[in-house]
Amino acid sequence: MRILAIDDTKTLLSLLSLTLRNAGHEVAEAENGEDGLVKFDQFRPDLVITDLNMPLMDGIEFTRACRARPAGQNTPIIVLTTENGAEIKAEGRRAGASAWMVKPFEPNTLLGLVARYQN
Amino acid sequence: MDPLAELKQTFFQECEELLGALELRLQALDEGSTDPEDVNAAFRAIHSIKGGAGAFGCTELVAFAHVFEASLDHLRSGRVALEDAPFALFLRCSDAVADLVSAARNDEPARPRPDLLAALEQVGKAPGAAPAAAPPPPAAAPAPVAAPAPAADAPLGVAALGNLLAMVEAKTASPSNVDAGWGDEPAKPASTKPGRTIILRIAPESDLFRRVIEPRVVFASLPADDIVSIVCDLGQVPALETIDVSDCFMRFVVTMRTELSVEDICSRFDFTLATEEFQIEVVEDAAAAAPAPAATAGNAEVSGSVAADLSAILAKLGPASPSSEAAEAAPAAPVAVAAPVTAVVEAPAAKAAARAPANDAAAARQRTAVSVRVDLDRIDKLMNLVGEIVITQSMLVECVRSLPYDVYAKTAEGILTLSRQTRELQDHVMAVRAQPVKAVFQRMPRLVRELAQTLGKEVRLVLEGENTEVDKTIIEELADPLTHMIRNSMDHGLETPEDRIAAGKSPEGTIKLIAEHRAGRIVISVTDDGRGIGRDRLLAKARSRGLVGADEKLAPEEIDQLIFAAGLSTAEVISDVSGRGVGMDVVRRNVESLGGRISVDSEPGRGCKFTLALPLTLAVLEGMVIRCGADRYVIPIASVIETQHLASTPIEHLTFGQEVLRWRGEITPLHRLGAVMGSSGTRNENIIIIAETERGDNVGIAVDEIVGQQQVVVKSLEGNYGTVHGASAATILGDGLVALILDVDSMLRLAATGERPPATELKLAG
Repeated sequence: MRILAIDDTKTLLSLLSLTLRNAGHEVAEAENGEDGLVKFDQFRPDLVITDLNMPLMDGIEFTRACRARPAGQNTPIIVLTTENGAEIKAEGRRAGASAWMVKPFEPNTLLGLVARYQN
Repeated sequence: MDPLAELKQTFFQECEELLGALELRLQALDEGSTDPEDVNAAFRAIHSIKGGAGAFGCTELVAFAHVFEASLDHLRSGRVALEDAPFALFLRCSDAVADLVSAARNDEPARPRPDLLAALEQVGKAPGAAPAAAPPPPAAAPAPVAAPAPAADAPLGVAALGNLLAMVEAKTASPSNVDAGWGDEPAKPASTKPGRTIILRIAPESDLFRRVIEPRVVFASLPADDIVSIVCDLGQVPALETIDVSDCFMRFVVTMRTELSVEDICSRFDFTLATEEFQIEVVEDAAAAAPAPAATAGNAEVSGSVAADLSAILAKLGPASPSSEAAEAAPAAPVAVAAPVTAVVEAPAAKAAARAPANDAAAARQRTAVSVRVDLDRIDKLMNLVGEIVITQSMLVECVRSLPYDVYAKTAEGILTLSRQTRELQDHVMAVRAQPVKAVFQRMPRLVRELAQTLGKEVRLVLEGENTEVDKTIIEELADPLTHMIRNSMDHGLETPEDRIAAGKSPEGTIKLIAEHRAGRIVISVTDDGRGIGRDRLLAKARSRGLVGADEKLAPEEIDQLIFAAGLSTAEVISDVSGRGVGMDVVRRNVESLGGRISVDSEPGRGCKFTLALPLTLAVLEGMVIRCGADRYVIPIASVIETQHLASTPIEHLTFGQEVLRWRGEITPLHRLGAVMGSSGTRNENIIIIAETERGDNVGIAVDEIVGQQQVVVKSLEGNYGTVHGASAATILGDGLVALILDVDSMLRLAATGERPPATELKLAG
């Protein structure tokens, strides 16, 4: 699968890509929501995994913006964050996020979640 | 190194920066800042640390950071007002995080901090009470409290994360089985399975597909083996003309035979479905559960092979795909007849909400400085290369001199431009290497806080000139001397609150740490308002150690300088903090080895000020090029006080052969550089350079000629050649020859011992 990974913490981003690449996915990286949108248009991913708290454009804004463009309406967006509050989740849901996973992620768990979107 | 270990290293590096930012922001807030960005940045910092720590399995760090983050979140959300927030506690917590990070980095067991965790948990619960609830200092909180495992101290962190992990794991246990479970395999008879029957009524909101959630993804949250049947209710599907395929109209009734608790099932739909979107009905009697719920008109029972078909349709339908596949599937079920739709769906509410954060984002963009992380090694290479260009350029100048005039004029013009550009390039590269002293200053508040606690003193630390820039190499060397100086001031300089009150001062002592640029050097001073240097005690001690003669009279300032003498500590009790007798003399030695100077001014009863002056860089040096016989040397301009003609200077000989001259009324020793360094060629000494030693004494150095003054690139001798007495380093001059950079003090020692350096061997063209 072609996956776009968005996280402003470089280490985490690298770890995320490493996990996904080792599982045979093709990964593009972005450092914040804004960068994510640019990469989204270039890379046309099958799935997006995004962090929530990021500078410039956070994960919620990114999800909204992504859902607002035709190409982004059918792409599952997994929010991968340490946040786990009901309010923020509801906001994520309204923005159009498909799944919510709480950091830290266990590689196999994440890959399992990703696999569920694989056809 | 394997990529993971490498990532881990990077993470710890990032942690350092994040910790710095965290502390800085908390400090700003502690000092009364109301800028929401300070709160946000602090929150983001701890958030990022937590995220990374989790990825690398640093559980203690995650647990602590989580609780810390949660309390900071109270500030962010406004649940706790800034003025009520216990920033002192937060600062101690940021120290604790730093400890946990370094423990994780070194693979050491982390010290559990139940005291801090407990205090953090109180934040937001009883507004205003939190600061009072601050725990006792860590030194006073010994083992018994710390006994339980760290994980147990942080139920919030580890437990919550663990639950969620378990949840997602269960969901994904075997995704492929899900389809098989309600596809190829016939549903298992309900009664053969242990547990009870649960009927789940799922009525997703119409936006399900817009969140790109397919119904099968919803069902995949449940263990496939537990699902008895899934019935799809199509009764809500509107008339074909009005249908919007991006809306979900399906309702489902899932019958399960399971041992899962209701809470567990709820948690599995967490996020995918809101609590209003499903109902759970528990049927304890297994017999009653066997038949599927009564089917209403328009319902389709999904079982056996039909289920497989429907699941395929749902899968295609799910993402509101306008593809031809959906059209192909049309005959299978009436829902799929829908025409392809490409409408862009966006709820008006979402639009409005998107607008507000956009402004924040624009503001954030302005605040975020664009920067690149570069390996110091690369900059060093660049610096070296610039050095080479400088040398090549001066070589060109020498070559051009021999050209005929018309050619010379043009070439000289070009070379002049080149030299200006080279100089600029050098300045820029130096600027890249330059860093604000903030990196070092940032560590001091923590030191002061911890020491203040250990010593039972009240101390306020004032930092000034944190943005003063200095070369990276110097930055690294600053930490030790500064730490020593601050320890010294806090331990020996500042009095206890009781003593201060008795002396008519405020109970809180002040230490000022100030950095500034002065005369091409960076000057850092540590000033305290303590009791000053106890001159009587210091002198008595110096006399008892034989450093000062029994009847020798010293001026007050001279006594103060004794603080730098080896092995002198006047603290009554040798404490943990400082005063092991390896204090200021070591600082002084280190500073001097960097080409710096340290001095002290003390006023009894009023305080004490240490001043540290260091060159801005160790990479280039402004030097005076001199000649002695056939050899040339460079004397750092900083060491040169004055030059004069030898002929006009009366020279006297002391009985043991030492030459002296009278300079400004003072007897000053004179050394002939050529003789000391063993220069080759015939010497004809014409010039005396009056230089200053590190101790502030003056010395005359006789040389043949002053060649010029220029900036030279310092090349380490130890790294490339070996130690050369009398010289601190070498450089390459315009003609490509090596010249030694003299170290006045080392040269004087050489003159005293008479050891000759192997100078001639050094003349390998560079």
